[in-house]
This record gives sequence, structure tokens and C-alpha cells, in this order.
Amino acid sequence: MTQIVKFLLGFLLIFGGLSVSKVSFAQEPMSETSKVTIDSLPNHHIVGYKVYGMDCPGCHSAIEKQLLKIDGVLKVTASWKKQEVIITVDSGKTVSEKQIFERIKKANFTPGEKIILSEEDKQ
Amino acid sequence: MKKLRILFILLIAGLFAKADGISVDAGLTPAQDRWIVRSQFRVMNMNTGSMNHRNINMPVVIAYGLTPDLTLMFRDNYLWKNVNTVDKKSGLNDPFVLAKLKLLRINKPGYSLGIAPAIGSNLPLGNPLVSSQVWSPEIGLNASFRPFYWSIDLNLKHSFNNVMVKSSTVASQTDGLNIALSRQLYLHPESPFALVPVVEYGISQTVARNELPENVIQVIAPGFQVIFPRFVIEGLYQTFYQSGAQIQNQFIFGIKMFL
Repeated sequence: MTQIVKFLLGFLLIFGGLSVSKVSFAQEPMSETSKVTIDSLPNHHIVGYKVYGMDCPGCHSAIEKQLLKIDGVLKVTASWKKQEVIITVDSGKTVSEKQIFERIKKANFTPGEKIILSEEDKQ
Repeated sequence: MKKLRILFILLIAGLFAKADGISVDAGLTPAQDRWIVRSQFRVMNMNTGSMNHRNINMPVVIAYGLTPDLTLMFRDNYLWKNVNTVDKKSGLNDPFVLAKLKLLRINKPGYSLGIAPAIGSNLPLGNPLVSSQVWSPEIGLNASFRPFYWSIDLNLKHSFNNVMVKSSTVASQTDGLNIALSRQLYLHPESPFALVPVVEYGISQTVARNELPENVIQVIAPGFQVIFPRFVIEGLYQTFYQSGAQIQNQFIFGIKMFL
């Protein structure tokens, strides 16, 4: 087998291993308090909040990762330009505003007021 | 061929390593449970009159947000040294560890402000061919001010060089200051990434214990970043000046990933 083929096989092995490697994090148990007031669509609740401290597109993944750790949160869309985050919650679950605010703070951002969502934001 | 293989593997490892990490940037500490992996390729040229140095350096940085207030960072680099094209050495350099603590963080609608002191040190475990083989701890203070599209980052650092002195080395202390200014540009209002021109200025002063003359070096570096939600591509061109004369230049290209 030629040196080049050996090298390519070694590279594929490392690349494949790194690509499928996964770090798992334990979900912290969340206490449930009041239910979030909903601007709802069928089957899912969607809610938005102002978030201060995001300063570039790179911040999106930080806050999205934190909020997705909440049991019941299905999807998170952040926008540093609009300084807001849109959260989709499973209709069968209860997520409190306190849980959301704690996660935003763990991302080193500051939660702001709840926002009224337009039809475009809900989609 | 063998060196190219190592270079390629290290670069790819840096690109695809899956670590959640913390930002390595200045005064803003990253989110809890966030990893940042940064890999760079650096080419340095230095001409001292009688000697022409050409070094290739590949640092890899892994940082992790243990809490929103505490960042831990580990760095190591593979170094190829070439002096006058005949004296060639290569090897893994000393690893460096650092802890950064959030002292202040203010998030307002119009700006963010962060101040974070840091403490770190190299560990003299590297290949003797490229490593200094001595301890050089350092303390620092980082500050960042981000008024919407603009970024101003300040870093102050004090290094205690060669604390455990070998007979062939000289203990010294270095004070350094680095300022970076950048602004985000968007080619389109809905663009998912930002193009960010950067300019950096740095100055460092080294005072040796045995009363050798002070060594003051300034560096000016234009560069760029392309910031996506999950990664950043960056490039920088540094020129180093001593007593008004350019002594060294370094080209840096890298990628930073956050998960």
C-alpha cells in the first residue's frame, strides 16, 4: 500500500472519529413554577424575550444551547441585532419564566421584557 | 511529506475537535458549559542581521466555561524553528493554562461592558528543542466594551519570565498592553455572518534582572474576522518594531469553533 493511501486512510479515521464524537451533558432538574403566558400556535407555544449582551452572530449558539437544556423547549432562535430570543415550547410541558431567565443569565446575558410576537416571528 | 502529514492532521483536529468552550476574548467571559476550540497557523519571519529566523507555529486553544464567571483555558502549540535554513528544530512547546474570572459584566440595550482578570502559566513540559524549560507565570486584566457594531478590547499583562532560573537563562519581567478595535459589517441585512475588519496595537517592555537594557517592542496588526453563529474565521498580519525599526513580521490564519 502506498504512503499516500496510508495517509488518506489515517486521515479518514481521525476525521470520522472526530466528526461522530459527542460530549453529553446531564440535564439539571428544573423546578416548575408559573406557566408562561403564551402567544400560541396549534400544538406549540411560542414566546419571545428581549436579551441584552449579545454582540455578534457567535452569541446565538451560546444562548440557544443554554435554553435548549430546559425540558420542554423545542426550538430557540436568537437574534443579536434585534436583541431578542424566540422560544418554542412543547404544549405538553410547562416552562417557567424563571427557568428561562436563569438560563439566559448562565449564558452571561441579561433577560429583558417579554415581547409581543408578530406572525412572522411565530413562524 | 511527514511534516506535511503532521501539519494537516493537527489543523484538521483543531477544526473538528468537539469541545464546548468558553470565549478566549478579552473581558467577556463566555457562557457556562460552552467550549471554544481555536486553531491557528502562524508563520513568523525575523531578521536580526546575522541570523534569519523563520518559524511556523500551530497553536491549539481549548477553553471551557466552568461557570458564567469562571473560564478555564488550555493552550499548546507545535513549533518548527528554522535559523538561516540550516538550524532546524521542531517539537511540541510548553502547554499553557489560564483561568479567567468575571469581575464585571454590564449588558445594556446599547452596549456590553466586561472586565475579567486572569492568571496563568506555562508548564515546562515541552520538547527541550523548542521549549524554554522554565516557568513563566503571568497575571492579566482584560476589558471589553462592545457598543453594538463596534468592539474595543484591552488586555494588560505582567509576566514573570523564567521564575525557576536555569544557569543559562536570565530572569526578567514583561509588561504588555494590547488594544484591538473592530467593527462588524454586514453585506446584507439578513446576512447570517459578519465581516469584521480588525486593527490591533500592542506594546511590551521587558526588564531583565541582571540590568540588561530594557527591551521595548511594539506591534501593529491589521486583520479580519468572519463571524458565523458557530465558528469564526480569522486572519492577522503583525509587524513588530523595536527602536523604530521593523524586526519581525508574522502572518496568522485560524479558525475558532464554539459548541
